[in-house]
Amino acid sequence: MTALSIHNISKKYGAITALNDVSFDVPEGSIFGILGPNGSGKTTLLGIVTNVLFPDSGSCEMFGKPIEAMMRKKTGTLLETPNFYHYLSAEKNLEITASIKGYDYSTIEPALQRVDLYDRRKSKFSTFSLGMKQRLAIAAAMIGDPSVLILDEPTNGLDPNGIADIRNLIKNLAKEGKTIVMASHLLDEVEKVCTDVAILKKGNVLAAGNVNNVLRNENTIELAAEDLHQLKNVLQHFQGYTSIEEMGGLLLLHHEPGKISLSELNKYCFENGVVLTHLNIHKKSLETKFLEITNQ
Amino acid sequence: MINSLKIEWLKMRNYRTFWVLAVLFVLCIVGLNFSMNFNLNNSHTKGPNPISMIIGNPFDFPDVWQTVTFWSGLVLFIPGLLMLILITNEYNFKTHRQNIIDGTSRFDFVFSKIILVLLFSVISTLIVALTALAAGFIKGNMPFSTDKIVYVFYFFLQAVTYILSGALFGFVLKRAGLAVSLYLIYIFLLKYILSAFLNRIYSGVGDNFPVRSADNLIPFQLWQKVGGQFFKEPNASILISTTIVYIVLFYFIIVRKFQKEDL
Repeated sequence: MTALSIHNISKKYGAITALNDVSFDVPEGSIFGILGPNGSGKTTLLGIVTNVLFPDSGSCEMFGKPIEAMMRKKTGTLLETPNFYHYLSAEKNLEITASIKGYDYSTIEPALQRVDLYDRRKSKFSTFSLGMKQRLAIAAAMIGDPSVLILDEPTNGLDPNGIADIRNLIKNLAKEGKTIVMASHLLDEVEKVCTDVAILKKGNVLAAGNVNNVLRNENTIELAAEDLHQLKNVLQHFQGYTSIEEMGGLLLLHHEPGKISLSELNKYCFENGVVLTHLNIHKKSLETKFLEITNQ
Repeated sequence: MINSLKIEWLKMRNYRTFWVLAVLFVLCIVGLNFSMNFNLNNSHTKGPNPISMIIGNPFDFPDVWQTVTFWSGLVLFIPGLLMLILITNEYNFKTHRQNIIDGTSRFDFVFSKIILVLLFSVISTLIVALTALAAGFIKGNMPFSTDKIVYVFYFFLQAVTYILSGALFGFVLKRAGLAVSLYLIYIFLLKYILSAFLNRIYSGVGDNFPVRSADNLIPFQLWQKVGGQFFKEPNASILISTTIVYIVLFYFIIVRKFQKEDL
């Protein structure tokens, strides 16, 4: 089932197009990453999903129904920055969150424990470090054990340990069957935890779907022989590659991951009368792939 | 609705500014009304108090209702300011956003502030009514009377006007510094300048200027007795009508703005 579907959402701020006809579906139980450089429209999109911003056109639905107050109570959301009453303690802030969502105060302690803030529950929010504020916001999002979590840059301001903790937390939440929508400009973060991804750039969806398909790590094999022309001809009948190009005395054979083994390729060339003088794997990094997509 | 009020209480109960302003408000009301002494028999002035010769003892029943509500009206900017700060706090902390994200409907959020305005107005009116009662018994020489108790109702309208204006400035301007400055400038200066200016163009129209119409519901007794001989007093039913129109107008501006804008 689709947990969240976004239909043709557009939003302009004056002359700037923040979102341009954005559509995609978030499958139930997925960890869905919304990936994009700064200013690509991630937060605007999540703002529309959580009803704090109005789209110029388009709509979004959660489990097939328009999103409204009752549904927001059952969704845990951290949008942009941790927003709390500065003069109240962590615990008192969460009492407000619990009251709004209609949950008992008994839900507060496990949430604080989970983000390791229980010992500081009596401290005022204003005394917290950025990382602690972020963790409190994640605790607030987890109150009432919601089945859908929307997390905008959840590792913002956290130290490496904190980042690892949050990653584990997200993975564990996903294991419990929760749907997690996570916006990030950190590719690494998305690569490590997400099952699905949508890539946004300047308000446009460049790609969306399963993370392995979208951020498909298409591999490249470099090869060369005495007679490059003959090698090219021989390779034309070889199965499994997607494209071939010539670059600096080498042939670059692009293929999907796992589709070609070097030994098979070597054997094929030899059996067809070409002795390779160069054979090497060149893996494109995910980052290159991301830059490739966003630079299109 | 009970839950919305409970949430508002959770926001206020540990907020020091709330308590400081609330205590100051009560102290100002009691202080203003009990520091003045117009009792003819117990005057500190040599011979009869000249003001008392004109208006008698303003703390005698039933005049005490008008006296106490008039002086108390001068400090209504305090709960107005408090309301304004409670709203700009939400914008400052971005909790107006978070509350919506967490599941409050936009209408419930803004309506709980309106209920708070009414609650503050009722409590202010109760404090003032009790002060008037105490002043009447302690400082007055006449038996209890409910004549002129309508001034307590006028005070309630005035309280709603001041506190709702605070909410309006908060919701429209959002930034604490700007909203506080403009609110105070309006209440203490601009309101008088604009209404006087309007009065010069169209006689009597300025008396019905926003907030001014609520002020004019409770005239200053001395001015009423002396000036009343030279000036026409504003018509009370017109003042009540315009005051209520402003209250309704402010309500709709606040609710509509919060429901229609991006947060």
